[in-house]
Amino acid sequence: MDPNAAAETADTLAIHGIDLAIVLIYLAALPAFGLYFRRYVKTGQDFFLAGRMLPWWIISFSIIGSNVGATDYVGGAGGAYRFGIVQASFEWIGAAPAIVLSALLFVPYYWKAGVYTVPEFLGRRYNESVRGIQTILWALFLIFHIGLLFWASALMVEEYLGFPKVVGFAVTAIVVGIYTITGGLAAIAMTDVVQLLIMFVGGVFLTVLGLWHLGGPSGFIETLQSHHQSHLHLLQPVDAEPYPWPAVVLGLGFVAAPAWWCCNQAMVQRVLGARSEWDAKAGMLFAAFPKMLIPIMTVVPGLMALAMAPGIPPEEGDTAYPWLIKTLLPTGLAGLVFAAILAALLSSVDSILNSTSTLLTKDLYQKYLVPDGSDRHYLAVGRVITAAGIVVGIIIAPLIAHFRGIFVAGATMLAFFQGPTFAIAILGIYWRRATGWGGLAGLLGGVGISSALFGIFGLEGIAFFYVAWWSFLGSLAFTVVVSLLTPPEPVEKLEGLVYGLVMKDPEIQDRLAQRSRGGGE
Amino acid sequence: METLEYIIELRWLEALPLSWVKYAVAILFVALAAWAQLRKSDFIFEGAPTRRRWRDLRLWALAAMAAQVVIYVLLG
Repeated sequence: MDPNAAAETADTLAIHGIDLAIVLIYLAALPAFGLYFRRYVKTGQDFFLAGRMLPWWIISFSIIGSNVGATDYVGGAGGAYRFGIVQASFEWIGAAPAIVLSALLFVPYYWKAGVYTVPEFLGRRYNESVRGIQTILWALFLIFHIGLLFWASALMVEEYLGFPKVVGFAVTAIVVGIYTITGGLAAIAMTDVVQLLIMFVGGVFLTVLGLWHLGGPSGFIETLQSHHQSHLHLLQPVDAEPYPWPAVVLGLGFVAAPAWWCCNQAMVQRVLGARSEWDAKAGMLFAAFPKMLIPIMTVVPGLMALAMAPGIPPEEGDTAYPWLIKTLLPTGLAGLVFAAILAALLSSVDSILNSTSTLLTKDLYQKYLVPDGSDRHYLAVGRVITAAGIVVGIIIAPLIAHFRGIFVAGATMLAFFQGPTFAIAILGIYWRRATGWGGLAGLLGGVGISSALFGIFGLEGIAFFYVAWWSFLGSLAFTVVVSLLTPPEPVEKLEGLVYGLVMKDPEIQDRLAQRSRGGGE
Repeated sequence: METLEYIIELRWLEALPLSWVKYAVAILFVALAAWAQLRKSDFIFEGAPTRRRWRDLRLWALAAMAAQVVIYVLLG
């Protein structure tokens, strides 16, 4: 195959009528299905936490549906094309261990505390300043993430269908807006389950077809071993770019991934809507298994594109996946895979919108602006903020074009505060002596270290995993030192929030159970 | 500036052979699986309708970490 064919082919191949029909049916059916769950939304708890009725398997599928976005297909395949299988680190060392930690250490405390958000938990554990700062940081990141996903949708629609970007914005806004604004978390979780199935069917199909095209798995691996040996190692040397092993193991494995899976509202939210503590833990833990399979649909296609067309310029690696679709798939099946990518995209947008709405409604609006509103009032505010999130996402989407890769853009933003967030979260749960002032100092000090590193090296001059690592260590140090210099917190404040205090006292367990039944407020 | 980069980007770890790193990572996965096994039954089954074996989340954690060990030993 002509190694320079990729860019040319991407411009000339088109989706046919039947492909478009499949996509349109999917786009019409999704909001209709989501709208069905509108009838179950009567209160704020129904809207934000699905009435705390979610079983473990829906939680699990919804978590992965939310976690895997179009950026994973396009950016993941692009990264694999450029850097190799190390791109799968985000799904392996960057997910499974952190998910185990989240399920068996963090989730039980969140669930027992009966909170709506992670910042609310940290606010109870430390103080309201920590809660406020956490809320602002996560809300900014989530809004940025919404913009990133809108940009990805616009790129997809332009690249695959040849429509202008505004069509991508409009389709995403309308389809997601309909069921997210009306049905809340229940509609999101249920549509996520369906979308995950579509994602797997479409994604795996492309991989199977690509392997067949390359002469089966053995032919694929032989091609890579012959010409791209360095692309087949998960652990890269210290001087390798952009994923050397210290960055992947220490920055991603120890800090960024646990911060994402333990402290990110968008990942934790459906766990808080679980029908029991076991469902909450199991829902999170089971997510590790589908997550480990994601590289089959994202990284492997990138490597297949490399084996078939090694001539795509590295800076255009993100075109590898669209090129594969247009090259490999016959009429009708291209529509299925396109629907799969769209499903990944929409299932992420809806979850992030709902999480942003929850954060802003519970942690800012209710906390600081209108603390005594009725439940219906907060339900209405949650819906308005969801709609506003869509508008803001569209407005900031073009900013994403200034970053060198849509996958890297989100990670760079997150690098500012994920290290400090994880540091104060794990100390908060594991170390009884951590104080409110210590947590605040750790959070601010850690963000200060991140800002200083980005200031010294520039936004793209330092790998974000190193920023996460050093800001994590700095935050740990700040928290410990300031905690030891300030008076310890009273035991009553820590009940149910710190390891060792919640499991031993039946009286505390009862109080927590009552607090949970009351919705946490 | 170069010295700072050398420290921040952990280049001083370059003397460590990649094969050592691979097995160190595998040991970390084993350690996490072992930590999960040490959780008490009451904690693991809290809120579960039954205590059937498939609901034992320690086994789920063990399976997830075993898969990670295999992946990193083979592809590290």
